Parts: sequence; structure tokens; C-alpha cells
Amino acid sequence: MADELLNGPSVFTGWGRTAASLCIGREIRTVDNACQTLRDLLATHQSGRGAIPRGLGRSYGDQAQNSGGEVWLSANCLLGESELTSINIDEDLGTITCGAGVSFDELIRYLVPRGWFVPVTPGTRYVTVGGAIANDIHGKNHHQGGSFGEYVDQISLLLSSGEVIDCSRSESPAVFLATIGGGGLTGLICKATFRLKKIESSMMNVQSERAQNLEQLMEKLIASESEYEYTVAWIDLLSTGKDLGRGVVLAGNHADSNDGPQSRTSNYVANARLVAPPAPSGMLNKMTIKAFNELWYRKAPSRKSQTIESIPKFFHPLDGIRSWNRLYGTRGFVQYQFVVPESESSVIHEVVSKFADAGIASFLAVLKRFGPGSEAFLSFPQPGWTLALDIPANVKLQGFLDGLDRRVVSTGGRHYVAKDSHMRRAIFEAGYPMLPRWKEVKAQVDPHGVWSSDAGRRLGLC
Amino acid sequence: MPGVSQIMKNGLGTVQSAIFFGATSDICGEIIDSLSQRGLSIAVLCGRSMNELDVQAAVLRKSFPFLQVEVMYFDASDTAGAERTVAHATSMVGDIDLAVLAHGQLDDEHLGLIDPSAGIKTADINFTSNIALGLALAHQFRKQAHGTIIFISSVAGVRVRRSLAVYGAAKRGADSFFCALDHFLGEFNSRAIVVRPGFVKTKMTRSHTVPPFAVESDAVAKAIMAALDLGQQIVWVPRSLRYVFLAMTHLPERFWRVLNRRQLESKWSAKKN
Repeated sequence: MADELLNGPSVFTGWGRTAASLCIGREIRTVDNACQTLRDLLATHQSGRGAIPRGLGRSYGDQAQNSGGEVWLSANCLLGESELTSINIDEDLGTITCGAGVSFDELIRYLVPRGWFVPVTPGTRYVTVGGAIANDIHGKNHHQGGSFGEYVDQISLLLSSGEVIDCSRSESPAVFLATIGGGGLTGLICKATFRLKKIESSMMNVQSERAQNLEQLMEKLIASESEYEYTVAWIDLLSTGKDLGRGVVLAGNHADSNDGPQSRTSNYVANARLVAPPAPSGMLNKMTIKAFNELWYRKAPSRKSQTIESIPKFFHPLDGIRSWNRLYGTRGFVQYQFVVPESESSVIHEVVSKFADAGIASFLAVLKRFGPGSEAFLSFPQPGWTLALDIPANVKLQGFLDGLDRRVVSTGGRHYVAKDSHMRRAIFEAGYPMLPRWKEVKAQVDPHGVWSSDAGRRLGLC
Repeated sequence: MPGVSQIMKNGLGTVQSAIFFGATSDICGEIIDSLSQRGLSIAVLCGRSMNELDVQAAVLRKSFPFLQVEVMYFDASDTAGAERTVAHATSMVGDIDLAVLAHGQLDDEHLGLIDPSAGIKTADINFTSNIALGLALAHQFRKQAHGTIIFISSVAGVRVRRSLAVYGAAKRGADSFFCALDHFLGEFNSRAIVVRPGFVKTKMTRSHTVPPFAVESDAVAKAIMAALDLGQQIVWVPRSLRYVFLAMTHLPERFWRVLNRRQLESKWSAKKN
């Protein structure tokens, strides 16, 4: 993390590089340090702008920034160097207790050679444990394994009162359930204990296959779910007509000794091989994305094909290109992710058609089926279909997305706050029926609204 | 570092909340419509006539179901009330992304020169109230560390002519203030856009002779939307006036006076006919 972001007004953005905010960055290394910073903040809290914890800044929108207020940076130390990056594994119980500032990159490097893996990983390993809890992240295994919060046993939380509490499903359960998926607005997550997954190899047994249209894609995705722990599909959102929604289904399991000699290794290597150069806005346009989509589709095998792949290649392919978000140019991009109930899968077809008809180019569009949701109040996943896509930011998209938003919530669906940067408050409120319960807890643990973020203000959470 | 959408509190660059002074004016009405079409969430309409504001708010609520519309009494001649008005607006809607200062008073030509009290009132409305609002908004923008002011200036202030001496001088003063304020606001991720329209055909200018380069009020709104997208600080409407007034400002005083006199003579003869 760049030191220039610390201790002075700096411009912060999410990963999408839109809606920048001027905030004061504060480095947090220990819990004592956090308590002192909190006391200093409260002494000058007249402006009412408060503070928001920030990990590695991979939320796409304005979740980890706080215009006119403070941003607490907890991931600026090496592993084990400070209390917030400490790590302590209990191999007998299969659990780990680590500081909120530990990144999944560090965690996976530490765990895989020891025969363990994180229970859930998103599409990037550059997220912190604190961020994973605050956004209740999900991954390719949601249909079987659920979201990250379901593996968390205990959270140590610094409240705005200055008190550090431990919460879990049995101890302060309401605070626990409000903190998972709570966007960092209940307090500073200091450390957490969560369950790990045992693995035999650092390799993945991967099956990939093309699907010629959306119906086929969805069928193949469902078919792969019983056999594979991890499934996902890439969609070409620019294809139309009989090819509408064509894509590639990817499914994988952790390899074991039966998967051949290639898989008998616990070595883990993950490095970014390329660095994306700063690009002009408009470089990723309909033409370039169409060409990329054609290549990507043709590159995938037309029939089921089995390969052994590394963990980074399977889970985090985009991390292979450092600063890939710069490819969208100075105007940045927004990510749009929603989920609709299983019974409303036709909405996916509707949305894909609308994007294809409008010719709105999305570089990365991903379809996935979620399993049961979590009991956390603001957790995003719920049973059904989820579609996530990146779009170059453009003010003219507001009306188009507003229309889709209304359609999604009318079916009982919702949008993912960690990726959102345009949603209207009414849409958010309609999508999260447990929001009033969350607000009750927020009022109890943070009566003066110390924990604030731009997304929180935009959506009426603080 | 992202581009010009940085001061908008939405990833698409959509303005979320805006306050409009002189909301019932034709120019402001067009700006409100343009912003609402782009997805504005909250609009605070400020003006003197609560009846007119209520009617305008009802129309907006019907046309844009997503839009939350609030109305507030605002009298530009009460310059001391600017801070209170801004504080009240923020207490109602929270952060203000955008403030449009479109109120103003254009007297009958020369009235300001022959009636001192009318002249002072024109100066207060067109100058002092804008300065007061600009300062109050700057204070709020410093706190929230984002925001944009759009000040509707006038080419009448670029080089002040005899017939609009008070109006032109007031606009010129306020124009200069907002240009300087923009430098200050830059430190707080905020900015001020100065819009210099020529003659705009509105209900305020209905009694005036239409000069060359006259535009409709929707042209002003379009130019402002472009300025918001492109990050322009000074906006001429139409754009060609920038070059016309570049020449005007360099015109020797003697010729400027001749031009002023000829303009008046042609108006008088037009009136006689």
C-alpha cells in the first residue's frame, strides 16, 4: 500500500476507480493504536464524517472510502509484523485466528504448503480477512459451501465506544450477524477465527467446456454442481441471436493423489506476470471486447476437457495482471452484480438480452448459481442465479441500470453492495429485508455514527 | 487518479443530490430536467414563491418517480439568510453534490442608474447573495470534501455596458469570485463552474429585444451537462461568444462607448417604430 495515502488528505477510490473521495488516511497497526486513533477521532468528531476501515481497496465502488472523514488502513504491514497482521493456526481444530489486515494472498501462501486452504476465496486473493468478513465474500463454491461468514466462529471488534468485544453466534450474536456483510460500519474488525479446508495438493482438477447459448450454459452449470465443488461460467455478453449468452463453463475440485503425478505437490507459487499500463478511456470498447470475447470463446475446448491447473490460475486469473483495473482508463468502470431467485431464472435471459441489444460491452461477465444464503443481516448471496459484469463507467448508463435494478428487486432479488456504486437507496432497501434489524444493531453499537463510508451515506446505512 | 467524475458521489458520475436557487427560472428548470433524466436522486428547490415551487415539485415527482423533491423558501435579497438556508438544506438531505445558483434580477435598462434603491437591490440579488451562498456552500463542501457549484453568470459581466451597468457589474463581481473560489475548492475535491450565457430567451428577458447569439434555455442546460462530464470550469453559451467577447474586451474604450451608444439608438428607434 502506498505510504502517500497515510496521515494526510488523499484521494481514495474503489477498484473501479470512480467516485473518488478526499479522505484522511490513518495507519492502524495494533489494537491499542486503533483505540488511540479512535479517541483522537472522537475528540474532533464535530464534522460528523467519522472513519471507515479499509483493507486492500478491492471493493469496486465507494465502500471503503469516506469523503471528508478518515480511512483506517490496516494492511500496511508484513505478515506477523503487527497485531492486525498476526496469524495463528490450530491444525488440530482446523481453524485459524488472524488479524483483520492479513490478506488472502499471504494466507494462501501460508496455508497451502501446510495442506490447508481458505474455506471461500473470491476472484482475487488481494482482499483482507477484515474485508472478507465485512463484505461476506462468496466464491465459486457457494452452491456447496456458502459464503465466508459461515466459516467465521468469532470476531474481535472495536466499537465506537472504545470497547473491544468478542462476538460469535453465541456471544453478542446480533452484533456478529450485523458485522458479517456490514461493510465495516459496526466497528473495526481486529481479528477473527475461522475454519479452514483440508487439501491434499496445491493443484486443481479442472473441467472446462464451451456452451453455445445461455440455456446450454445454465444447464451445464447445474449439471457440474453435483460433481464439482467449484463452478462458474463466463458469458459473452455481446453475442446475439442463436449465440445469445454463449460462454464457457469452468468446474474444479482440489486435486488429490488419484489425479496423477502432476497433482502430487504442495508447492504454491503466485506471481503477477504482467502489469497493465495506464490506458485511455475507451480502449475497452465494443470492438476490442468483441474481439477478446471471440478469442476467449474459441480458446475454450468445444467438448469437456480435463486439466490440472494451479490454484492462482483457477481461482485468481486476473491477479496475473497487476493493476488490470487501469485498462478501463481514467473514467474507470462499475461492476454490476445481482442475484435472482431460482424460480426467476428467466430474468438472467432478460438481462443478457438487454445488454446484447444495447451493445453495452462487458469485458468480464460471470454467471453462477448460489446455494442457501447466510443468516447475516446484510449478506448478499441467496439461493438462485447471480450475474456479475464489469462495464466502463458512463453517466448515460444510470437509466439503463435503474430499469434492471427495478426488475431484479421485483423478483425478490438483490444487488451486491461490495460491488455496487450506483444503486439507489430504495432499491437497496427493497432487496434487503433484514435491513431494519441491521439498523437497530448499528444504532446500539454506534449511536453517534462514527463508522461511516460514502456507500453507507449513499445507501442510508450511516 | 480518476477523471472528472471524481466529485460525483456515484460511480457512474451521476449527481445524487442537488440544491437549486432560483429553481423556478427557465434556465434552472431545464437544468433540473437534465439532471433528473440522468438519475438525480434528491432535488431541493429554493425560491420565493412557494406556490410556484410546489407546482414545480409536483410535476417533477410525477415525471421522475425516483426523485425525492423538497422545497425551501429562499429570498435572494436576504443575504444574511444564505448560511441558514444551506444548513437547513443539508440537515434535510445530507451531503450536497451540486448547487445551482440561477437566481437573479434583470431590471429595465438604466433603472439601476436612475433609481439608487433599485440599483442596490439588483446588486444585492446578483452579487451579494451569490457571494453569501458561495461562502456557505464552500464551508459545507470543505466539510464533506466534495461538491460542485454552478454559477449562472452572464456575458453582460465580461465587459459591462451602460444600459446594464449595475446588473453587469454585479455579475462580473460574482463571476470573478466564483473563478477564484474554484481555486480554493480544488483543495477539497470540489469545484465551481461559471456559466456565461449570452442572451437567453426566458420569461425574465421576455420584454427585451432579442440580440444576436441569443439561445434557448435548454442550450444552457446542455452546455452545463457537458461541462460536468468534461470538467470544464468556464462555459460560454453559445461557445462562439467566447471569441466575440475576447474581441470586445480588447476593444478601446472609445469604440466601446460608440458601440453602446449605437446600440441604444437602434433600440430607441425600434421602440418609436
